[in-house]
Amino acid sequence: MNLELLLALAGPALLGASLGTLVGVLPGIGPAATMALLLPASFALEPQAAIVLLCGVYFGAQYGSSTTAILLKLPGEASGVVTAEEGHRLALKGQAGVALAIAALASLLAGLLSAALVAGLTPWLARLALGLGPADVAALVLLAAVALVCIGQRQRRKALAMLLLGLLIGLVGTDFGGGAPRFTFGLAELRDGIGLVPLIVGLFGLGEVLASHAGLRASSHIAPIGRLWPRRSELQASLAPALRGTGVGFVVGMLPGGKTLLASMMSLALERRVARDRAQYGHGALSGVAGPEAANNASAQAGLVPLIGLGLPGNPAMAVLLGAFMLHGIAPGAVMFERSPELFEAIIWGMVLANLALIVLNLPLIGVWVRLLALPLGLLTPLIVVISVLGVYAQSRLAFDVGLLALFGLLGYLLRKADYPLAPIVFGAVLGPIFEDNLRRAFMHARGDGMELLTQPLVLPVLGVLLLLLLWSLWAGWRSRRGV
Amino acid sequence: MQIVLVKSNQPECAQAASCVADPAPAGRFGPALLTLSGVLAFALLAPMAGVALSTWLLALLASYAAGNRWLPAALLACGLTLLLLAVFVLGLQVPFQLLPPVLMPWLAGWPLPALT
Repeated sequence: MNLELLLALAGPALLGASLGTLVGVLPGIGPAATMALLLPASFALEPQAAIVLLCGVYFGAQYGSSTTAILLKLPGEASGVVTAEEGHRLALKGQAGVALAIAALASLLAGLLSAALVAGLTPWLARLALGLGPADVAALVLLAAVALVCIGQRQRRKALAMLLLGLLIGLVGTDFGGGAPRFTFGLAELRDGIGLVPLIVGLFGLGEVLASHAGLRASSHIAPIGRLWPRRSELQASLAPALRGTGVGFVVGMLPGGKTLLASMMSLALERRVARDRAQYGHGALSGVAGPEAANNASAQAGLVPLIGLGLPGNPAMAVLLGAFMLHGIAPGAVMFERSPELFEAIIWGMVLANLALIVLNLPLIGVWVRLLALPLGLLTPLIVVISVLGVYAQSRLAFDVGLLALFGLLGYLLRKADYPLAPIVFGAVLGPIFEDNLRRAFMHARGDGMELLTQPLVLPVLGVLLLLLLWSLWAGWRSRRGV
Repeated sequence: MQIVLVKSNQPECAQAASCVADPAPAGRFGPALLTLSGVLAFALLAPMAGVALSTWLLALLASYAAGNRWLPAALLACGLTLLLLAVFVLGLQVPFQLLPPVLMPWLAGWPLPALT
């Protein structure tokens, strides 16, 4: 790794980490929407700098969320909900500074270990993927879609409905087999399909703003931060939970649909189970901050393994990152390792830099970030709306895309009101075309013989796992209905 | 990102010394509709009236929907428009059609920077 490249990546890592922390702290626009808005700007950068910038946003959002979760019990991101439980209780006991420092250090440890794991596992997965045919890839995509619905979703039927809606959105455009327009309604603008940017910014950015128009306003009070640097005993007590959280988070993060919230929840459950003094939980336990924080950071970074190794995104933010790869003409997977191995090396170093930038940026500047919450909603929401609209318009300079943004914003608002999950829509829209393309090619190779597809190395094992997953899901649903 | 509402009469709010105010009654669709109409207005107007005017109108409607009165909303819209157009046009070098295309022949002789 040369120093010149490291210096070139430091700027995007720092900028991404700052923007990510900002969106993690502020309500209204999430990391996926921010990353989608940055896509056109990232096109002006070198590919590695663009990817590092977007990764920095994603990692920073996890960190920013924990700051407000601990100080205000106001998590900016879903994953912060778990940290808020014990972290805010520590803040009420006057140990906010220690909780923030432990959260930051646990995140850093998880980030650095995850970078090492991503560096080790991804090339192996990509080599494995080299022997896969289109039928295997189609089976893996199907597994990813089913896992998204089955794992970590409260309402599986709603998640399935949203996945199908996403698949329908992904069908819009020109049929790449025969070249015929599909669901374009005669509109030339839809011939290239529905763009990822208006979809994600509409659902997660504008939809959130529309849903939040209920008079929410942050106060200007900030809980006292107190002593920042933890004692040696506190650091020692947090090390094992952070390591366990990293392990749990990394495994969950690699699964399709593995959410940072699920990783944090599993880590907290594990810590409660292994704790010698379980009575401390509910009264402010440092291990209840260290474990979940490490888990959500590890989970966020583990999403890069299937994305870079197989080209399969595990969540909406990873789907945007896949879009960034495509924009720069890079196909994730074995081809990327063959043609531009330096890119993967740069991404790993970018991950390390982004994690270090988060510590440097956040611990001394915690007060500044939290003070941003005092921004009046009357300023914040117009800012988010105008940035969203200009960002979408800047990407294509098509007024039609702004219309799509309004449509998806309205859809996001209505679906939030009805308590439907939004992430499966993005999943369906991204994975649908990949599935269709591979399945078509598989059938062409097999000359239309469906049984021939089953002879491919991964198809039967993947379908077996898929069947087990469906049975487990049905069993879990039956148990919950019976109240077991 | 989810916005979490904490009612100011809840005990943890007093303990935390930092919380959000009570939300307004649910079911107020007016602000949401106004914001949405601002976005649609931008989509309809931007090709004809230019990005600058459309952005100002969008910012005005979004700002009014967010609870500002008309005059502060208009001033805020001016500030936001100037700031964000500076970021997009000067910072990110996005070649926006800033002014209405119909005005371009009239402005041809003026000492203005390239606007498209």
